[in-house]
Amino acid sequence: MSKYVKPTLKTKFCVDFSWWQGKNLRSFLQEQICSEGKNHYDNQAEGTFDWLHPETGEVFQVDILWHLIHTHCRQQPDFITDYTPLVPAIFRVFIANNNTPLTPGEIYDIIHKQSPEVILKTIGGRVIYEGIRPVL
Amino acid sequence: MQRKTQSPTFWQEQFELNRDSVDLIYNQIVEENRILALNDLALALIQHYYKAEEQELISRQDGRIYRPTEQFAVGDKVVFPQFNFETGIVESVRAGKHPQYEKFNVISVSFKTGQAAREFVADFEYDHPLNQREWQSLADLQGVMSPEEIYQKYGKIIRAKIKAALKNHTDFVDFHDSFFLKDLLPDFHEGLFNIADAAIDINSHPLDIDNLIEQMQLAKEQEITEITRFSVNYHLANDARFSDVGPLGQVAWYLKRLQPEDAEFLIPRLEIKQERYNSAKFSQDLRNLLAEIDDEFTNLEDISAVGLNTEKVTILLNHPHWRSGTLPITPKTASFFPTSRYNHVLFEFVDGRTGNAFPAWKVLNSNYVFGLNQWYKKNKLPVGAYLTLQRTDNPLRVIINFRPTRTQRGWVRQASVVDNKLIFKMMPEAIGCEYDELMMVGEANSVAIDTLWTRAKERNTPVFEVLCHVFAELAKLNPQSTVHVKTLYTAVNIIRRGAPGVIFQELVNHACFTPMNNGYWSYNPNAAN
Repeated sequence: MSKYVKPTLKTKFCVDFSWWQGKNLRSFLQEQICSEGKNHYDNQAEGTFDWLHPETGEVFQVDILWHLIHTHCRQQPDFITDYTPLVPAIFRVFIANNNTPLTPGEIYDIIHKQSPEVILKTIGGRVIYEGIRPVL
Repeated sequence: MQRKTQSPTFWQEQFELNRDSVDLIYNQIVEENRILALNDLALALIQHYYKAEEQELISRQDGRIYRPTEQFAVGDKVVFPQFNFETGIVESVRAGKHPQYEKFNVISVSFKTGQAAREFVADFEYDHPLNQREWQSLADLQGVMSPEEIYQKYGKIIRAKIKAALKNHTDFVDFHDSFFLKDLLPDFHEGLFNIADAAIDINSHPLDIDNLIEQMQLAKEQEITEITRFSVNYHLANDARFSDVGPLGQVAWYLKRLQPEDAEFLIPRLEIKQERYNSAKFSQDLRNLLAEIDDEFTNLEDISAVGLNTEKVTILLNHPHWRSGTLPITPKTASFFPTSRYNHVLFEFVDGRTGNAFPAWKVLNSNYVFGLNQWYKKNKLPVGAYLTLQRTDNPLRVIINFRPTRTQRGWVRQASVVDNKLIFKMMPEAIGCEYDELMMVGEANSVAIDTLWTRAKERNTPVFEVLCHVFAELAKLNPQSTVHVKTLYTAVNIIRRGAPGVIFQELVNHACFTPMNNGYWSYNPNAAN
């Protein structure tokens, strides 16, 4: 087991796709799709696509719904609202920016929910929520 | 491979001056035959580590650098700079699938470390940051810090480690963070330093190093070399008779026997224990008053800083400094006084009324200047007097003044000791300057007060206890029984050194104290327990 390093406000976070292996990412992504996207999604083929890491070139096979949300739903004005709970809101930020790593402060600047400290406490603890974890 | 020069852990925790590094410094001094500054040594050492690491990278390169645009085949060795230069072997190649991109491949790569194979994009002709880089070899890798950048980032800790190691090494000698070899120092006859002693004594003022070298007849002014300067400085610094009293960037040699004892030791009456406060709990009113008191133990962020472009500042003479003949160094006053990180500094105050200059000292590692005792007494300045500091063209001369008024006899608070207890009375006193009446508390019997001070120090009396006592006594002088926080600060400091923030914190934290208006507080002794 790797040593736990306590993240700080300077630590960058992103979605770790390997955390989702064996878990139902599709089901979680379905909850993030906008109403218009849901109609579109009915016509989408099932399956995955090769998601490319924007910095390292590493490839992860990710559910195609990610791409749908990234290209369509993120442009909708109600993609992240005042009523979107904190963790889904953070997750949606990473879908929108194609999983580019961000610090809690940078996430706060986008979602304006709680505070950078609360965001850090939420995603920087020992419990991993929805695969959002520090970039090591 | 982990580039250790890029890692904070290496410089902060692992880096130590090993035998090779010491030899490197030794040889550099021998080859260049000059004094080397600690900064230069640190940069040279970083460059040495950096180059050695590059050589190692070149020798270890075992495969092609990974770029998404490249084509790879099964069995190819690939180096991944983004993963600490891990080398992997291509196990398989498959067609990629992405709604946005057409033809590209995905390679599956296994790493030596035995972890599960990972996939990477290949034959990818679209934009990707890794495609932009013109990498030919590991040693060319961009995105790593240069030696200069490493120095900028970790220079402070690297310098400290080099300094500590070389100071313990008998081959090296140092003066003001510059190093040389002991064996290369010229020999001086001991008598020469007697001449230096006499020269300073006759001059009655510090002498700079070139002046001393000339008087010691070691060289004429235009012939003085850096090695001669360094060698004489080094000898003088290690001779108990001499004392460097120059500000940062200057060396000025003086005689220890001519300087006051307090030049090298902290004044006990100004010492304070580790007592912290947090002004976040204070009202705006209290925060403003905190800045007005001009105490060196007020947190830096609670006093507005004054820069070099401000010619003159006014400060309040508070009790601890009135008693010690000193002035505090705070963000407000710091830029007026010379300083040094190596030694205490001798400078001059110039009396703004008479033009007479008198010596003053900035004690090493202290946050006050001293030398004002006689000046305070001569001008009969009370606690709370308004003083002004004014710059001159010479950073070693500071004009000090007060605001004289026609001498008036008024009623002021006066502290005295009765039955081993501090009490306060209103007494008539003649004062000839402007002062803050709220800060003003006179002393009737300093010897008896000193006895109380010593006892409080020995007993380590808490601020709260002293505060309760002086509050109850001061309240007797006012029909409303309220006391201003500035008066409380002065009264506490008569028998126990306490920062204003710490005293305010006690007021805020205890229910027995109640804030009234404009800085006045009331006290309920029954609630003190």
